Amino acid sequence: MKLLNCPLNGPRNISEFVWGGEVKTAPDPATATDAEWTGYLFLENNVAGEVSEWWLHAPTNYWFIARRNTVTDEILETMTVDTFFSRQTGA
Amino acid sequence: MSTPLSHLVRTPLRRLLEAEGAHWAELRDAAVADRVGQSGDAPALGIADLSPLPRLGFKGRGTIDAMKKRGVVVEAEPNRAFRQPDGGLVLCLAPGEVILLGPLDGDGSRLDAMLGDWKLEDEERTYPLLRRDSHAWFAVVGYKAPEMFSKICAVDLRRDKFPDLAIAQTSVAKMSAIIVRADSVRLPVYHVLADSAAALYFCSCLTDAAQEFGGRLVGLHVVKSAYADANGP
Repeated sequence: MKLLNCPLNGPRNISEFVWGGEVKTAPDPATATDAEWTGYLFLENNVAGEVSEWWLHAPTNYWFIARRNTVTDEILETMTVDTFFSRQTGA
Repeated sequence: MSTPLSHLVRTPLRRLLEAEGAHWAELRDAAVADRVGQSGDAPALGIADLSPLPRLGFKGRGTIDAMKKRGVVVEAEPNRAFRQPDGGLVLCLAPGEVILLGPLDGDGSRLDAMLGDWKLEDEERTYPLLRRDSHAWFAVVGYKAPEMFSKICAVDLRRDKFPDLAIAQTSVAKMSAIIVRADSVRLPVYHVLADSAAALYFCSCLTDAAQEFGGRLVGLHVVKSAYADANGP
């Protein structure tokens, strides 16, 4: 069984988690075209390499971010949403 | 004699417990299975349905402060439980979420008051969750409990790995469940909360797993007597 390290609950079986898709920037819903909005909702970049993804620990309904290598399927690190976005903004 | 049908609040396991020959005891607004089956002796491993007992949840960023303001003993330490002076137990599930389990004597007046006094206009950034409706509540009593759980749960609940008042929010028998260890003076006790809509399935998984250790369904009095002179967890 693969393990994923939940920032709230610690290491748990991967079967307790749900993949939530790549972290993407939402387009402005007021100005986005239908194609842009569809792309945001349904299309993934499918990068072969390191990606940041949303993951959900289902028993606690807890969302967090995981860095994953899609080629090796290795989980590089997991972090809270606050940590991820403060890194993004350099805060 | 009080029966579940005397009340609007009923355990989701009513029919199962009736078939097992439960003797019911009166709570304020519900009946709880006090004894199950003919034998009055506590087995090596007992599974009790505490679903009729009062419980309440709160969620939101201001939850811990709001609870402290109401005199609840709790800290912002996720996955840790806190014993209350009235015999209840408070589970800190996340920095902004708690579940309050009432005392075993079924006195829900404190929780009722907390629910009744809550107002959105107070802007405390917390809101109540009716956990008595959403979650069934089991108590698993006995030294064999960790071995039993190892058959249906991946988290190591052995007593030297999973300390008293620790909480695991995890998958048990393929269902999401909250397990909290709150030992009594005499025996290890694990309280388990799981979706009430699937309580019958969940209970069948617990009793099936407990069978090889001589485990079976028991009544509230087994849990109460494990806590002996104390009133609750």
